[in-house]
Amino acid sequence: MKKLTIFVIVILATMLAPMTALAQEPGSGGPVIEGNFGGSVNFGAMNPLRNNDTATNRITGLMFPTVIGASGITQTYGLVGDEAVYGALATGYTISDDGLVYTFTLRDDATWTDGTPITTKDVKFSFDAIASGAIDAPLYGYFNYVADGNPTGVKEIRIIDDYTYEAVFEVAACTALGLGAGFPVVPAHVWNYDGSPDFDFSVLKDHPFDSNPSPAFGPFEFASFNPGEAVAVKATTTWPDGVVIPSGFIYRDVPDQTVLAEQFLAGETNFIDGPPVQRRPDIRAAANVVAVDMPGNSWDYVGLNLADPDNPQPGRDENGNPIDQGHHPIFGDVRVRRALQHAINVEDIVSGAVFGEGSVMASSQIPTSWAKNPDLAPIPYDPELAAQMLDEAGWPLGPDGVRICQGCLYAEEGAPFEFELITNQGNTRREAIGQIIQDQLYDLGINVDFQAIDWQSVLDQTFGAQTFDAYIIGWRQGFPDDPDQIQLFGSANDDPANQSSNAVSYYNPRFEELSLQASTLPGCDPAERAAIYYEIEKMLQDDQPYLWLFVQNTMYAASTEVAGFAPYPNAPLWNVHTWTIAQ
Amino acid sequence: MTQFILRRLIQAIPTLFGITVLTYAIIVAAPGDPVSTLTFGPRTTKAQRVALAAQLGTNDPVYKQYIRWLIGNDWQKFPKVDGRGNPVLDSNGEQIVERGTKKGILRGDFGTSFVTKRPALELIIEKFPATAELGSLSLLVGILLGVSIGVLAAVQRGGVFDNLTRVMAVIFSAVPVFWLGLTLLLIFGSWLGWLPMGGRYPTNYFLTGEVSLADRIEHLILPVAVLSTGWIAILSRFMRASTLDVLSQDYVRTAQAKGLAYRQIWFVHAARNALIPIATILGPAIPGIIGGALITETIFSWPGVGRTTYSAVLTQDYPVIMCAVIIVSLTTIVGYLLSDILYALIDPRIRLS
Repeated sequence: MKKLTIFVIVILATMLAPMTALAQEPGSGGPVIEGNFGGSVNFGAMNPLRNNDTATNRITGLMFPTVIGASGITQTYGLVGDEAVYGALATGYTISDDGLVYTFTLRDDATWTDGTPITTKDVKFSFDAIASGAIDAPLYGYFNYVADGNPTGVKEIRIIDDYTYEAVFEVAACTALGLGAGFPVVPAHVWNYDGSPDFDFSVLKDHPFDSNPSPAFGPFEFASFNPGEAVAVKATTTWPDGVVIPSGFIYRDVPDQTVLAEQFLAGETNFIDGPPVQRRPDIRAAANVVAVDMPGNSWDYVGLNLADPDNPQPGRDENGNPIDQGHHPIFGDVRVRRALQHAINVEDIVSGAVFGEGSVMASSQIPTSWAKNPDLAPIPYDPELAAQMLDEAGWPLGPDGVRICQGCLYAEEGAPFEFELITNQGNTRREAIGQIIQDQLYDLGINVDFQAIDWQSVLDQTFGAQTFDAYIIGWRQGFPDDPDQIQLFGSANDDPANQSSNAVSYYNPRFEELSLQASTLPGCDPAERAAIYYEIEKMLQDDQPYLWLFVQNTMYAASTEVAGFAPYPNAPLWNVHTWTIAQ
Repeated sequence: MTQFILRRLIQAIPTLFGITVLTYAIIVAAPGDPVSTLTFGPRTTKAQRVALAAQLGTNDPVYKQYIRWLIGNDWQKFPKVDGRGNPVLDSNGEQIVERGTKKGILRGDFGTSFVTKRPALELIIEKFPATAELGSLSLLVGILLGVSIGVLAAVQRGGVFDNLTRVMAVIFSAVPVFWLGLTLLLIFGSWLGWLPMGGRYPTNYFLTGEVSLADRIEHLILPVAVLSTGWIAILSRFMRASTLDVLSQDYVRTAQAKGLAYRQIWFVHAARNALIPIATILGPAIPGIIGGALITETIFSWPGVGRTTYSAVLTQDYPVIMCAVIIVSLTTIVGYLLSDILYALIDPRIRLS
């Protein structure tokens, strides 16, 4: 019996050994093929410093590192060797006592695919190129980020040695980690960078690197670019964090969402990120597909104008003092806003607008955020309570079934409860949201003039002029999530002349005080910061500058021919170098 | 003839100029601006928007923007600033002043895309092969089938074939391209799995660079079929009417009396003269081929000019829009000119003067 066992083991080992060896060969695993519905027909310059759109990032993120990475498990920043972090260069960092200097240590075993070591020279080159203003870089935030009037962006990058550098800030803020080490790093030697302070960064513009971004550091390196059709990258053999098994990653342009889903189901692509909601049941049901649902990070909301739309004013004057912005005749009264949140059935909206593929939001934080208050429940749908609250706020039902102002706070006596709700035409999800809200509020005696207009007109009326009543659009949180929302609700960011994000003109000194406290907390302890964000989230739920709707769920799916597919929220490709695709 | 061509080309200059003025005015007058689209997001500050507007030149009055687009800005000098908007100083502590780098379209510089940071002309030109391939093959199929169907329908006037093709023409004209495209994709790509579901090349081509003729033909079948339906509908009706006119002519009756085979009479003698009016619609077809077919390109993931231009319109990418307008305008003018010349060449009764 023992002999037989040994015999079987030897036979099995003999059979499996070549298979294992084969599977471990770089590029032996077949290509990952993803359809791209990013409208990237004009897929841009592939220098990650020059282009930062979602489609370009998908590819450049596979080829170029950042100093600090992000973990799908913790949903926060991570270092080399941390679980589920790839593409990072930093093995550690320290923070000075005053919080103004972050010192990063880079791994010393990383080389570009041409063999040149990756050093702090590449990091400084990349940052200085962004800050030079000479390369049309979209990554202004890293050096120019201003929160509540404080310049929190990186002031300077100083090289200490080949593998140590300092990121210096003017003010201490908890955004420093991401700003000082989150930007992409490109090979400085491509442009013969000599470290001179007079280096002319405009040489990066219209450089061949834009369309042939080599050398790289990542699981993949550039293979081909067929404009309007596909970008392909191929497996590298110099990746220090393991053998790259897929032969490549092909990112095909598929501008029609129906076709995108059909191509995946037909096996023409083997990975899909965020298929159209109406096709998700089919994808889940498909026999040859592994589908994973995740809460997403894009959320839609109804913005309510709290200020007088006939006389838009900035939130602060030149000296930083608050300006009286007047009151919107309807939404200026917080009781009305709270009543409206009770009056809309967000679950129904989720069903109608995204086929149930969404999670109701309690307030301003998305479910995956580390700063989400787990005890804060969404405001329940309660039309009777809403009607009662509106009665109490001076908006009883009129003789023709429409509510009218009788003792309301800011509208003229007898004025009907009616307002204009706008959204961007062509976005079927938001158009459905608008129609459902219109119906739901009609039942309560509120007339909503819902209009889907072109995107530019929405921007003009809202952020550009603040002459609107209410609008539906959405925001998308970053990854890792920065829960700071001073840009959305701070009075310093409320100026109709400057396309400011606080178009609803929310002003609450306590909110601004807490936001500053959370974003500049000494030591930036996540637990302590989260406690402050919990309070902020509750405050925004009470004050209702937005009607909180839902965050869209996302779905990652791969064909069953893909072995190793194990996505995390926001990080479906964290282990893509281990995927094996049956050929 | 030479005089005629020269005169038409000279006349085209003010036409083209007028088109560019009008187009520039319309895109600038449209709601919003490229900067608000490019910088939309809560993290963008006023300083960043101002810096970007200065970089793109969209903060200037419209006439200045247009003149710069036309003749460039290398005759102007600009103070150099860094990404924070701070002045960049030389070793003497004085702000560096640099000449602009744009040459303007009169010197062949169509500018750089606001969105992709790539040269606008390159973005359009690189899509030409795909667009021309799809457009010309569709036209070719449309002509071959449309002309044949038209001639046969005319000679069998009132018969079953004539009535069937009449219904077919109505259907081909009325069925929306997006519906037909999606339906064909679902049937032949998804359900039957006979044909690829879009794209111009098989996926492996992007890694290996290898592609066979059969692969290329497979990828062309569905989009060409969809795009040629419109041509078949138009040309078959056009050809039918034109052939009916010719069939009643004396020389056809003479040919019949001489005992020539009917096929020879219809397709050699009658069709040849019936084709003359068709020439008038082939010239204007050229800009249609060059300009691309947005919906078909979108459904079939075809990397063409139409999608590129549409995308540029949505993002208010002025240089790319203007580049596309110039090229399509030029081909329209040339297309009509060719149509006139062709008409004169095949019909000796026409004299260009």
